[in-house]
Amino acid sequence: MDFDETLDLEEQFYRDGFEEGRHENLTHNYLEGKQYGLQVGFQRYILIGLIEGVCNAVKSQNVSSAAQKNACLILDMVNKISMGNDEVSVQTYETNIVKIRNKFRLLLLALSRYVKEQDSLPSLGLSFQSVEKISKIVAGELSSYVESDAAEVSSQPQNEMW
Amino acid sequence: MPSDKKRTSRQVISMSMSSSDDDIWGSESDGAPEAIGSTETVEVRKLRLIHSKRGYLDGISSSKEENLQKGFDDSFEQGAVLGKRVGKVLGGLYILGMLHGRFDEKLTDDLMEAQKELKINKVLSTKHFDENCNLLGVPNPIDKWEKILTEHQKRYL
Repeated sequence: MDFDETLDLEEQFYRDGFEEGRHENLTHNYLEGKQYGLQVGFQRYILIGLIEGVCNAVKSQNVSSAAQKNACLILDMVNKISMGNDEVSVQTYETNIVKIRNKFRLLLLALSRYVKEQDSLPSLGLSFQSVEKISKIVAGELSSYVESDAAEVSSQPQNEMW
Repeated sequence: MPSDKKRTSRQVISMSMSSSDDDIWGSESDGAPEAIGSTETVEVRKLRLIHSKRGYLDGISSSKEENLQKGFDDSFEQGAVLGKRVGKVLGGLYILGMLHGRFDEKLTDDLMEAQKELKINKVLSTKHFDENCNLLGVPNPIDKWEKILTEHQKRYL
């Protein structure tokens, strides 16, 4: 084997190894990204779901017409939000979420008053804070997955979760 | 969590960064034939080991965080759909509990139980996904709790 042939072989072997390493890492990165996307998507939309669940139930309950009207308004706003991670969807989410949260707070205040009037008892924790708390108990804090395990959530080993 | 294939890949990466060449690429005494086929001599094999390894490590480095964003974008919506479904169940149970829970112990208990069974690590458990992180058609705790919510809703319509 002469010098040129040796050089050609070295280059070919290097290229083969390079492609193999690159391919394996790209596959690994893609799966890691998918796992993280599932987590963040879940964490970002659980509150929207909670709000939708409350509003759906309010619509069918025998409560004040103002509360039912508010619930319908909130549901209209929630339906405008798409769930992708593209620029338009993220922008729509950011624009609407503040309005939705504010309207939802008012709805819960009205419901709280309604329950109090009906029972002459204080409503048991009917507030935006309690809804947010459920969201955090179930999905953890969004940022906690970046730094470390979410203490509240990780009752199972980390490797059982995507 | 990772599939066997992925775990193997991770092990290879990890080992390649911490151990000697022989750890990944084997050594001449691994039982491999002295020559591969009739053309690859011992010298060529050595050349392959040395340069393939260098290329492999460079290949890994060259693609550091590439594809992470694509993976994230591809699965984000699926995570969002699952999170929203979980939220809808909990929101429905929560408000029914607030309106009727004083007289319905089962409803109050179900809200507590649902918060445990619908935690993110249970809904996104590996048993619900294949090795490529795609949702399998196996029963998910959300299905069960959607039915329970429907039952409660029927009673309070």
